[in-house]
Amino acid sequence: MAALEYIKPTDSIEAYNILKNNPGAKVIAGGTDLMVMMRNESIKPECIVDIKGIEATHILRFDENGLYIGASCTANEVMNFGPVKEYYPGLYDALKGLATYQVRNRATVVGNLCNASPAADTAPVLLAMGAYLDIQGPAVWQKPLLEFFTGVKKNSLSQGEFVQGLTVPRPEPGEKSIYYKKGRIKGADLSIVGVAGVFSRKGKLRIGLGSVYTTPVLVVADDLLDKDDLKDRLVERVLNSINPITDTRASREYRIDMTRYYTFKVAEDLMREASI
Amino acid sequence: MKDIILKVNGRKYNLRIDESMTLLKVLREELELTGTKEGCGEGECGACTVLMDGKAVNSCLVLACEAEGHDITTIEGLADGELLSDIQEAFIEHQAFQCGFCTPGMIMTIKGFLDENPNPTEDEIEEAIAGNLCRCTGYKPIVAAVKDLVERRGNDGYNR
Repeated sequence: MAALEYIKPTDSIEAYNILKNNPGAKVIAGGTDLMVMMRNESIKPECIVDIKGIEATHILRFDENGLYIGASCTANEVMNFGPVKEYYPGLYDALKGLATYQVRNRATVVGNLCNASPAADTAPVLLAMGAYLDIQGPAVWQKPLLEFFTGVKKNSLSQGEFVQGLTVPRPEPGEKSIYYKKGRIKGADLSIVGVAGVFSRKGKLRIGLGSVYTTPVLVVADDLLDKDDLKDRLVERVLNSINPITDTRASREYRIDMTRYYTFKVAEDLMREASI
Repeated sequence: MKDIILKVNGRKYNLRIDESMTLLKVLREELELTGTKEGCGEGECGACTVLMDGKAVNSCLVLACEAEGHDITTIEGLADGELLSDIQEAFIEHQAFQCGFCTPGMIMTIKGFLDENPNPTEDEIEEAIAGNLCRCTGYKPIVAAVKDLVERRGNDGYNR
C-alpha cells in the first residue's frame, strides 16, 4: 500500500468538507471491502476518512418511523438488535448469511449498500422494504435506496457526500418478509442469486433481487395480488426485469432457473406465513 | 507516519506507524506478537483473528490507526504464564489441530463467540468458525473440543 493519511473526524460536516476537498479520499466504516481493494491495489486512496468517530453514525433505533441504522452499525449489531428479528425477518435472514462471523463484527450494513455490489446481501431486502438513505452533503438529505445504485460497484453519491444512516420504514401490521440466498456452498459465500420478498395482505408485494443484473433490482407487484395466477405472473415479471451474466460462480442460465425457483418459493412462503 | 497508542493484551504501546499498516502487520512486525498469523490477507481464512473490545475480527481488515482506543487481545494474551486457557486445554485434549497455523485464529474466534453465546448449539459453533479455514483436521475435533468445553464450563451445551 502507498503512503496515506488517516483522518477521524468527530463531526459530519467536517467529514463532508474533508471528503469534498480531497478527491483521493475514501470513507472507511467497517473497511471489510475497502481493505481488500487497497491490498490488491484496485483502489489507491491518498486519504482515509474514518467516520466511526461521528456519534450519529452509531445510532441504532426502532421507533414509530421504523428502523434507523447508522453508518457505523455492524452487521452483527444490527442482526442482534431485538426488533430486527421480530419486525424485519427478511433483513435478519440477509445479515445471517452475510460473509463470516468475524467479518460481520466489522462490516456495516450501510457499507454493504455503498459498496454497491450487485451481490450485496442486504440490498434486495432493503429495496423490497422501501428503505431510504440519509445522505450527508452540505446538509443531510434523504434519498430512496432505489435511486442509489447506478451500476456495478457504482452509487449516486457526489464528491464529498457520504451516507450517514438509513431508515427502514415500519412494517404494516401483518407484513411478512423473507430472504433466500443461493450460494455455491453451505458456508460463507457470495450469492449466485439472492431473492427477497415483502408481502402484506393490505396490498403489498415486492421482490428484491441480487446478482442478476448490474445493480440490485426491485420488482413491484402490488397490482398482481388479486390475480388468480399471481405466482406465474410474478415469476414472469421478475424474469423480464433481470439480465444475469455468466461468471465464476454460475452461468446465466442457472441464475435464471434459480431466480424462477426462489421467486416462486418466496411468494409461496410469504403467503403461507401470512395466512397462519 | 502517525503516532498512536495501541492497547494490546493489557499493555499500552506507543508506536509511530505508517498509516497504511494493518493491525495484523503492527502486531507481528512492530510488537513481535507473531502468534497471530497471516493467511489470505483479505478476510477469508480467519488465521489473523484477534479480539477487539471482546469481538472477534480479522486483523488483516483493520487499519492499526482504527484500533487506537480499543482493547486488543491476541492469542498471547490468553494464557497466564504457563497456565493455558481452558479453550487451549480443550484443543490439546481433543487434538483439535495438526499443523497449528489456523489454531490461534480459531481459538480467538471461539473465545469471542463463547463470551457472547456461552450455550451454543453444534450448528451455531459450526457457523461461528465458518470464517476460519483449517486444512488439517476436517473441523470435527475442533467442534468436539468446543462442545466439551461448553459442557465443562457447567452449561447445558449438549442438549440445546
